[in-house]
Amino acid sequence: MKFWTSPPLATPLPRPAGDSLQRASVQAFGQQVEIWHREEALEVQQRRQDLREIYELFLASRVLPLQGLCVDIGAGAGWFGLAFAAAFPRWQVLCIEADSARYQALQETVQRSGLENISCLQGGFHPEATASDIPIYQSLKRENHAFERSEILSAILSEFLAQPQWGDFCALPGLGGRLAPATAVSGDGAVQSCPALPPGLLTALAPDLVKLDAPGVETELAQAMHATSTAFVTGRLVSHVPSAALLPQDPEVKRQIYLLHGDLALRRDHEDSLGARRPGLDVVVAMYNARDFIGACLDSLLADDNPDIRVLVVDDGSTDGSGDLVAERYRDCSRLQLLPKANGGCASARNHGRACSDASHIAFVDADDRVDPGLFSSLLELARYGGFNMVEGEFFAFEVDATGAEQRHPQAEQARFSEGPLQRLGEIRYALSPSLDLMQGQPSIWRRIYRRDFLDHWQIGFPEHVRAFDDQVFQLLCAQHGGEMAHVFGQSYHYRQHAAQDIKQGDARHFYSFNMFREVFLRAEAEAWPDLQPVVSALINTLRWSHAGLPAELQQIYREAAVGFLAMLAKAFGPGVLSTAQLERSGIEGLAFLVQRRLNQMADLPQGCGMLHMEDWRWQPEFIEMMGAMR
Amino acid sequence: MKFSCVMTVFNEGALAAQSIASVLNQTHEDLQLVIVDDGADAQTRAVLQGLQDPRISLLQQANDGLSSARNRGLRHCSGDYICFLDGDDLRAPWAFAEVAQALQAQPAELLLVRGVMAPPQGRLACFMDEDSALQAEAEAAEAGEVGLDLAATKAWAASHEPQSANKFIARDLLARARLCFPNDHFFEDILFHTLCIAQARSVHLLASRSFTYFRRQLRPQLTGASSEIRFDVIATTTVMFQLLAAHPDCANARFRGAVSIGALRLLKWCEERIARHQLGAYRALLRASLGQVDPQFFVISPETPDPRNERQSLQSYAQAHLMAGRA
Repeated sequence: MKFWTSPPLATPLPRPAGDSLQRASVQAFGQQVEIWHREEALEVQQRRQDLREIYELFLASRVLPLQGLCVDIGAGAGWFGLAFAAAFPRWQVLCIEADSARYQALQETVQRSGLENISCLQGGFHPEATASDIPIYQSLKRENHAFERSEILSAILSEFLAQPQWGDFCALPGLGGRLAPATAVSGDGAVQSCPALPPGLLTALAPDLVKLDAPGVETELAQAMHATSTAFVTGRLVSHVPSAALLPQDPEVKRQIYLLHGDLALRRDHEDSLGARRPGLDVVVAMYNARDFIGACLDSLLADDNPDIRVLVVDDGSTDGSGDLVAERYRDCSRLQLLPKANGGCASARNHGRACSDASHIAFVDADDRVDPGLFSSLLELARYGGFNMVEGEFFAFEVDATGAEQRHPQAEQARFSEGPLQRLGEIRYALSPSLDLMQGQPSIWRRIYRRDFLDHWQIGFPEHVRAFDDQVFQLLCAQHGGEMAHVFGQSYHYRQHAAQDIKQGDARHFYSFNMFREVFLRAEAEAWPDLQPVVSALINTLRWSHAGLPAELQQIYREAAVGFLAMLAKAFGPGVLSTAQLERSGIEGLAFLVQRRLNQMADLPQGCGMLHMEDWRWQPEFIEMMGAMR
Repeated sequence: MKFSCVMTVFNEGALAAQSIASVLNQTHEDLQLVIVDDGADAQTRAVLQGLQDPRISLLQQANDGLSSARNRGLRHCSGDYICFLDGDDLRAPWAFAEVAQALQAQPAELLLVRGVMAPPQGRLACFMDEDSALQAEAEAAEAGEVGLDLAATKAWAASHEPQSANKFIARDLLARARLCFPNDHFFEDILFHTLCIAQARSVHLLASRSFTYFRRQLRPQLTGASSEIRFDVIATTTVMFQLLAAHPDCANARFRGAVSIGALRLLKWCEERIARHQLGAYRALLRASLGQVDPQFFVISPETPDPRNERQSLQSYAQAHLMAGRA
């Protein structure tokens, strides 16, 4: 017996004239079903493709309970609904379709199939339809333990249909003539009146699975599901629906999502709700004696009120009272957490923040910098929709002089993004590029958000024993493994420049880069990176920059350090790893000759990756200091 | 129609609960789930302890490797057809129902299904061998009413990815051919996959995607020292080539070529990913091993199913290794 049969409309819509229905045999979910329809060939092809390339892939990668309620919104002639009903005989399927001609085809399809677990309802969800008195499934269930789900469904639907509403809908030619609420679309398509369903009906039905194809009313439907226990949501989104509306309100609800929006896919798997990670962003702020700047930094991070973004301030043993200042000033801010620790350097503070984070995404901000208020919300939203390992914003450097006047120095990234934003997600404009591009240029790790599982998987962190270049190794490893990365336009990170920027001082800390690069080359060896040239090129850039900034007495040692290091690389990976042209780019006079001379001295030794474990007193600042003490 | 699914578990933890549920929640309910606890960790064992379903047979062994665990599971299967699922992958809810339906229409000893590849992020994709399935479908359509003959079907089946989750095997076939996984070795599927196809007297290719393989970032990555397991691919492909050379189907040039493409793809893939300090040893072993194989495997017919257009490059790859170091 049918779990529910829609009563005829009080004022039946006219039956479509003329053309009779065609039959399409459709294969999906291990079933072959017949659909009766009057669609154009292109639309038929699209529906078949959606079934095979969206819905079959989604359902094949989920564990569905043996029974439940599936609501197919925008069912058309029953393409998804019927195949689903055939494959899942113990589920109940409610197909909802606004358009009269399609609804009639749907009824025909369902009737001819002989399946009992599928019913149809004519109507379109409309934001202006009101849902005052619809009883809610969960409360009916509580009151009537003995009731079958189908009885409750009937109760809800009958109650609702007792007060039918009508609304204006408009056909969208670009979307196969689908109907959208006339209020939501501007266009000159003919307006037709159809039964209007309030989004609240979806709340009342609380289906286990929703297939969404509802242009013009997507956000309202997402909001209607926000508090339900709906466990599976799939379909196509025509517009950008804020991800926060689609994620369930109750973190206990394990909702799996697969919604396609253009090239993007908002996807949430079972394991994303296993409890390990809160779906959100933690911004780690490593703070050491930043009393003058920390307020501006944290205010900018908290400015946009996004509850999914939390700020973890790691006080790395500040001695200027920054910790107390933060504790006092943000006492009532539940989105900010202060994590005091003994001083250990910037890398240790970032690692500590990460260890305390339970979020799916993470960012690392410096305590003296600021951000545009919408920066991290935009990055997080795009990261969710695209699944990218890394999403970054723009940045500029700024300087505040003694009078308090601020000067901004925009960064030239034209080479990377000369074509500008090619893609959009709602208001967010972005472009994609390979993360490998990050090998060149100075590290700018702070303007990015990272998937936490990505960093964990590749064991990318900040080495704590170094006091410089820790974010370089971080950036190089991210560049190697990040894959496709998104760059968001129009949202910037503000990088503060001080008159005496630490690494510019030209001290021995430059020598940490040898240690860091060895780390990277060891990874390259173990993981068999197919191309070493980007890293070698990054190394040469660093040599050039460091060497130029050093005082003369250190330059001599640095030159010898570089010669030994480069000779080691050639001995480990083969002479092809270095090119003369590249060495000359280093700005170290005669480098190519010096390296070759060193290699000639090593000519009798076999080439091999063991060489990567060589060491030299010139490759670590601590060794250099000890050497200084020897003399 | 009863199905037995063999699942081995080791360190899948909470993920195993989903994999198990994906078998138990099949819409076709006549089934047995044989779970082999291959020295599982505490988290995984906690999942096993909560299981109630009478259709589950739970076996235990000290950690002895995937092949050994699957072989143990095989000995306890009571179903008419047997399939495999790793403890962190999923079986589509309709998988058994589709196979049962297909068998009702036409019996077969071996059925291959398509799959889903769930990357760590972004869109879900079809499994790597979808193009083999599509081209087989196109060739069958061209053949019209009669469809593909057994020789052609076997060639296309061999062109599918050697993956344990993509096949359903009649119990009789397993017994007759004494099929099992190569103990002591990883990369076990290539041998099992090829021998199943060679020894089957009838093969079906089905249309639905019926399993999902997850590439995860949640689980630790095999790096560094563990790249030693890549040497195993040489061992299993060598034995596979040696065994297959003795089978009459080896005369089927398309089938033989498809097997070679699959094996060489894997050998090359491993060579490209092994830690650089092990590369010399890998190449030496590869050359020594390929030298023991009938050279007809490295002359690949242009008629071979080659949906990824790899025939020539892989043939050159094998031949270059075999000729290396000679005048």
